[in-house]
Amino acid sequence: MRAVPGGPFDKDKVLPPEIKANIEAKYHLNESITKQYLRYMAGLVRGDLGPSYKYLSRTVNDILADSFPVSLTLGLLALALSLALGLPAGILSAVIRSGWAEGAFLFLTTLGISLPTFVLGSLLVLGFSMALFLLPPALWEGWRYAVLPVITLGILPASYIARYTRTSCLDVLSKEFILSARAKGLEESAVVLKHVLKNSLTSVVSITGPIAAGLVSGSFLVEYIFSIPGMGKHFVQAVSNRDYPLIMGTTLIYTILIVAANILVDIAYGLLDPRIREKQ
Amino acid sequence: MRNIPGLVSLVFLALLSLSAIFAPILSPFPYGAQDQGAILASPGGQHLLGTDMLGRDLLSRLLYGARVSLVVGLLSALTAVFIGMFYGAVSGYIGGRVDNWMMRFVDAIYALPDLLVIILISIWTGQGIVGICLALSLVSWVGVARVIRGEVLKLKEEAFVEAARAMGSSPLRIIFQHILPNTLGVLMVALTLRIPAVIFAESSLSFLGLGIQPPMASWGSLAHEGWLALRFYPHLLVFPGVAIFLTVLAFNYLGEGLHEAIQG
Repeated sequence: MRAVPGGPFDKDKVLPPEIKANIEAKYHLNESITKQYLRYMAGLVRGDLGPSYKYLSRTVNDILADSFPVSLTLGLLALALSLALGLPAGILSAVIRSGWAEGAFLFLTTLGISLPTFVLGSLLVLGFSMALFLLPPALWEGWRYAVLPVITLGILPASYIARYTRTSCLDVLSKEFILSARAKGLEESAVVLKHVLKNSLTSVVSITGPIAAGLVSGSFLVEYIFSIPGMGKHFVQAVSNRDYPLIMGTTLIYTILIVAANILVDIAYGLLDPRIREKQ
Repeated sequence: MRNIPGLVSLVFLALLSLSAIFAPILSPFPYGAQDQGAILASPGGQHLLGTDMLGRDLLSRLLYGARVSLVVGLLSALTAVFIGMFYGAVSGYIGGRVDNWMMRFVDAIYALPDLLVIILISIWTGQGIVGICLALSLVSWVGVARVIRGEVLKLKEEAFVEAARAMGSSPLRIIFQHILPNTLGVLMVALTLRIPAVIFAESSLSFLGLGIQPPMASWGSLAHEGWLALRFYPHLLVFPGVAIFLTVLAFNYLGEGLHEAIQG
């Protein structure tokens, strides 16, 4: 990463060499790469992610402590929205076997998958904030500020969840135990709620890992569009500013987050599906 | 093929590619020409889709932007399919512990947020067309590798592969001569579905200002410029946004159509 031309302290104005030397000494940029690396790793072990090169008085730890809760809230709300939209839509479209409903479902989910996050976000801003003056277009100061970002972030995963749910529901519906449940006289709603829902839920849980990764990608765009002071916005800015410690810090937190999400999914998977529990 | 959306998409994409190829002839104005009398003009009149903050004709810039977006999409998707094809075929054919390790590596890349990895790679590759393509393909090959591996696992149990092995063909020859030609259909579907994914990623990257840099412009970077002037000049964002959306939609429909046609 350091091999890239252009450094955090390259400015339009040429700095006097003494000042440049002082800055480099403060951030240890005058030492060898190996020594810088060892210094960084030693800090990491103590939980210290180093200073930010751009925000002079703040450390990476400070910035992340402020921005992580914001991004986490945004991500969890969007996940909740996408589940609330995607699961019922997927189940309903599998149960209602009419050509019209199927066509509408496929059309809407393809739309949701093909609409870039930033296009959706800016259209929402244009409509709800600039034309109707209903909701604030930016910042993060209360629930009203969360509505548009959460919708923008949630639509894409909602479409994926809906499609996946539909496929796995259709799969379950063709199984023999559904036939026997119907044969013993269960009401159709009971068949769906008791048997289909439970069985298709496990397969939806299995894609939560990729969904979480997608939410992180989407949060870069959403936090940029709505000027939300979260980790995604800091990451994008840090890349533009070549603020290496901040890039490293955010990347590290994202990786930990994704690994944690995948472990949780594995545990949930085992709890939901007895076949997997018994295998271990 | 009786798939109407698929056919419509195919026609749309063909027209789009033609207008991208003949952009210099079709554009009403040269790409960089500034009309000092019509800065930030609204759509209509002499400039059909309006002009940007430097007085450049938006329709012309969109046509040239189509070149960048489509070339990046096609090039990255092709590279991704090639890498994924070799990786998946080798992994699937060798099998056993090697396969296990190779696929864990794929899982690791797959689990990470794609935009995060693309941005990190592009810091290193630079933000020219080649750098962006490289970053995009180094991330999006993993999906292809999984699909091809699955196909190879199925095909290598077939009788004709066993016959080739009995005749003493080398593993490489079996992979390239006998197995991979049989995955051609799957590869075509993978390619058609990779292209919209890559265009999607590139436009997101450029929208954040981390992708294609001026003076070159893709649809994503046009949308980035439009975003900065959204409040009073929404046309600058709406038109590139619609272009990206329609193209991605068409490729998705085409890919699904192909998928159904091959599945039978």
